[in-house]
Amino acid sequence: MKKLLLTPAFFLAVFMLFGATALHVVPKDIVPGKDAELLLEITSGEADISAINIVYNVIESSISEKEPMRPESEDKVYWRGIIPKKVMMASAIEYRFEITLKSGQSVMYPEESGMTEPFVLRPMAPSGKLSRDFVLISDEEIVSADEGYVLAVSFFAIADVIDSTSIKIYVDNSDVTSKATIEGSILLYRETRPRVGLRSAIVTAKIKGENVYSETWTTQVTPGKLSSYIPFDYRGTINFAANIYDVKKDDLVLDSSLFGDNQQDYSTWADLYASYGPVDVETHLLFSSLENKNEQPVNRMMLGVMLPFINAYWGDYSPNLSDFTLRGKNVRGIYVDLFAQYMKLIVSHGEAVRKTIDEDSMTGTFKQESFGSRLQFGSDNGLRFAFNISRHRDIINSLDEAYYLRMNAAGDTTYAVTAKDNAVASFDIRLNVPDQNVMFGAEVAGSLLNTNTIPGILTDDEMEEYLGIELPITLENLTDLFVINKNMEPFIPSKSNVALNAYARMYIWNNLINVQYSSVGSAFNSYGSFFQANDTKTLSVSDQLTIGRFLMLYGGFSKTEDNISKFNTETNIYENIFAQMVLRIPNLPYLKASYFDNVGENSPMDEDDPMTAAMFMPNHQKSRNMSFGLGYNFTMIPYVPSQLDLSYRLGNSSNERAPSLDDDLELISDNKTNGISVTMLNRFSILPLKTHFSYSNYKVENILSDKTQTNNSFYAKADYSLWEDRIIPFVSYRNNSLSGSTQKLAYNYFNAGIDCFPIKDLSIGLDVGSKSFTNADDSDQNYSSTTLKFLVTQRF
Amino acid sequence: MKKHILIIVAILFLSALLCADTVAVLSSTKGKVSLQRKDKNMKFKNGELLKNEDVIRTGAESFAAYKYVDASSQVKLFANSLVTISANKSGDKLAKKVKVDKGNVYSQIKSGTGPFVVQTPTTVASVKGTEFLTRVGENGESEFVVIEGEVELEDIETGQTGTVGAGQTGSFSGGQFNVGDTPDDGFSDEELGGMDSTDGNTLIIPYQDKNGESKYIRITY
Repeated sequence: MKKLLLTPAFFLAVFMLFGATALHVVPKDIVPGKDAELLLEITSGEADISAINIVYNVIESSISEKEPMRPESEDKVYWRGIIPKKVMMASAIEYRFEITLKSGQSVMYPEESGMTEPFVLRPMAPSGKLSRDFVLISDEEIVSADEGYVLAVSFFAIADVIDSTSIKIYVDNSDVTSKATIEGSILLYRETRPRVGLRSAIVTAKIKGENVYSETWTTQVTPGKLSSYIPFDYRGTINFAANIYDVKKDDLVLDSSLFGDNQQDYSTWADLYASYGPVDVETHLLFSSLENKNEQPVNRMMLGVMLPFINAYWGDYSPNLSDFTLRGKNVRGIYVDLFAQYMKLIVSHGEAVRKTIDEDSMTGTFKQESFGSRLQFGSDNGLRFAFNISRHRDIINSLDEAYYLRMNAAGDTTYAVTAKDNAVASFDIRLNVPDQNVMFGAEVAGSLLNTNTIPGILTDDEMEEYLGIELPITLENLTDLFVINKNMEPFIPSKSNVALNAYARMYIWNNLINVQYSSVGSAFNSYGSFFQANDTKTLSVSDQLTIGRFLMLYGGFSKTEDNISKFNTETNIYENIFAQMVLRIPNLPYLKASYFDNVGENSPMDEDDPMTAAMFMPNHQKSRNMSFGLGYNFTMIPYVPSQLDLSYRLGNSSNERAPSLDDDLELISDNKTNGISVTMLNRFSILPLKTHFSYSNYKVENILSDKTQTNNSFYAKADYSLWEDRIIPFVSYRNNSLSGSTQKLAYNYFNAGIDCFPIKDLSIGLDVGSKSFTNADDSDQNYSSTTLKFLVTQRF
Repeated sequence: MKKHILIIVAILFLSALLCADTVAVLSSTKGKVSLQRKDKNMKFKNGELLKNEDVIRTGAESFAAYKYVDASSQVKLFANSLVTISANKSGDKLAKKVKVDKGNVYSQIKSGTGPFVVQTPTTVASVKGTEFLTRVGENGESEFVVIEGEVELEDIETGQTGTVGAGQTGSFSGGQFNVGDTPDDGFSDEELGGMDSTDGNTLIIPYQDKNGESKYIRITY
């Protein structure tokens, strides 16, 4: 095993993504049969994040599942989520966080780059006491599949005191109690055609209200003479949700950015993961009442089949070809990944969508024909290179004419938005030397963009007249590949259509070093990948140092410079330095600290040029932020074991400008910030009560105006478990208040609800909430609303 | 009177329930093995739960093994054997009884786990923590080969008793209690292969120590 794979993700990781950084400490007190609660702290860039999911799988299983995380408060600094108890058994679970930015891009952390491993949860003993009174009677350590797998366990010695209804039998992480026989003082589980391999089993129960568990028994099932049984494993969920809103203010303009969700909706969705021998199947369905053909699609459907040589998906899928051609965008169609040891071919074809906004801010959605292909040679653990192409063409008739056709004053038809055609070709290469822990890679891409295909292609005569040369080819023959007319930007491709990305990653003496350089031309466009900042080049260097398993240091530097085409009169340079530290000594609180420094400056292209000098306005921006924190799981507190996380932040930001190059810089804003966040989770040991409190105070002090704005957030939640977790009523209260010399606003939320688990794997959730907004300076803006949320989930 | 009748009915009902209790688990079978419950042949698989008064019969070149629910003891039936099993709860222990009508039966009992009795047509053997072999011939003649611990034998007809120690073989014949060292070749291949393991991966090698007592070396591989 490479050392690289062990160290960085052992118990924590710090990572950086597009300006956002986050921190996660793998929880230690994980027990089988209980939900594993995960806490993710976004240390910077939280405003850019729209959603976070936990993507997890049982080690040695290819089936990955997702669980959404929820922000603890409005500021979205702390996110909590669970890995459900259904999979939290004896086997370890590996997981990553899928972080979706507001741009729509999703990134995985730890990233799936081949250099870092996912986080790993290793459940310890089940809760309660180990009982030796569970005695395995079927004690054959090796059995043939022909004989069948038999688990016979005696609990004769505790038969009079055990709560027989609480007995649970788990075989290979699955609850098989319903398939087992419990008679008198013995329990029996039998498989006549067992899966070949190592089988593990454990029994849990309650004695006088106290949890007890057996030792874990393992049995080796060897292949029999009869046809071996291939197990059919499946799991998934079926869900129904309804969100109903009632706003007590008739003339309120329901701006979702201010108000949050406000449109009643009903949705149903299902997920299924199955495996049968070498075949894995994955399917997802989502149908929502919010679906509107002229808006971004909400409905999702996908069927995926994975075999040892091919992965094929039909429906909604996000193909990953390369950074510049096709990555992370949803395509509804077909995706096929055909792979052999040293060759891989990916083809993706379907419909993508592009949001349109006209001059009247009317939004619509163009459907695009999306095509992408990747032909790769070589090995992931050696040298590999690939050719990639992608094309995205707006389908003109997919958008209602009302969204793009206009009449001008003269009565002529004009286009408010236009249909476009975009093509990208790239070449990428990567050298991975696992034994040396180094990886080098690069991608170079070129793009074509036609900003309006509605007028159609140019005829050969028109083109020859336009270019003044005789063309050796007939353009009409290329229509299926790309629409060429005068709306090409630029008409003749140049280096401004080129983007480049190069990186080096290495692991040397416990240092995980990442160096990356990217350059994006001013006319480079790719509709298949996410936003590329045009006309910029960026260099970033980071180092993650792990000392023992106790200390992690992470630091980095990045510099971004625009105007690389030299077409603009000024150049902006942004520099960012950051450092983070986490210290975790066993049985002591973990400590964390971070520092961020951002500087932005502009400079004129040509100081001697009178035009530039006249137009240029120097602008310098600076911001510095620091945070310190600690966290600890106080398991020794009698009756109320508590998990605490505490952070303190401070910083300042300023902006200096000058009217012209010759003038001195003048301070136009100077803010000091500081804040504290506390989050505490209490699990009472004598009562089935769980409470959760968090408080944050964030103060912004404007030095120049001597005004202060304070943002306070308080959140409290309590849930009480009845009938062995079958019914869990809860109440929560949240208050967000903004107070200061400029305005005084307050949001109050009160929620009460119930989570029920009436039968195995069925959960029903009902949440009734009220929200009120008050503006102390303008009571006309006050409003209140009531929401009803209903969710039914059946796992299987 | 009514009260007494009710109590009697209740006791009978409880007894019936106890009789129907699961007392053992059939842990292994090979070859021709049958299970009879209340005079009816039962279909069964490995792991079958055995009730009081269940009868297990093995044919030629066959084998069966079961374990009692208190996990205290296991019983192995070699070829051409006929056994009736029973057990009853006695306090916090399980009193176990194996009725061997014919064949060779190996019993392994942990000490301190309640009474364990093997009954043949002629003899009753009481044990507390031991390992021994019971052989019953076609005419009911019985022989007990003790490997570990001690076995107390009682002649059903005469009430005479005797003790058989480790490495000894004991029996009653013509009203006489006979006991002697088990000869080196005192086990058949089938018995040697099956006494400690159902998969045959154990060798039991008899030998005599310096005092001339019979001992056994058990090699599990």
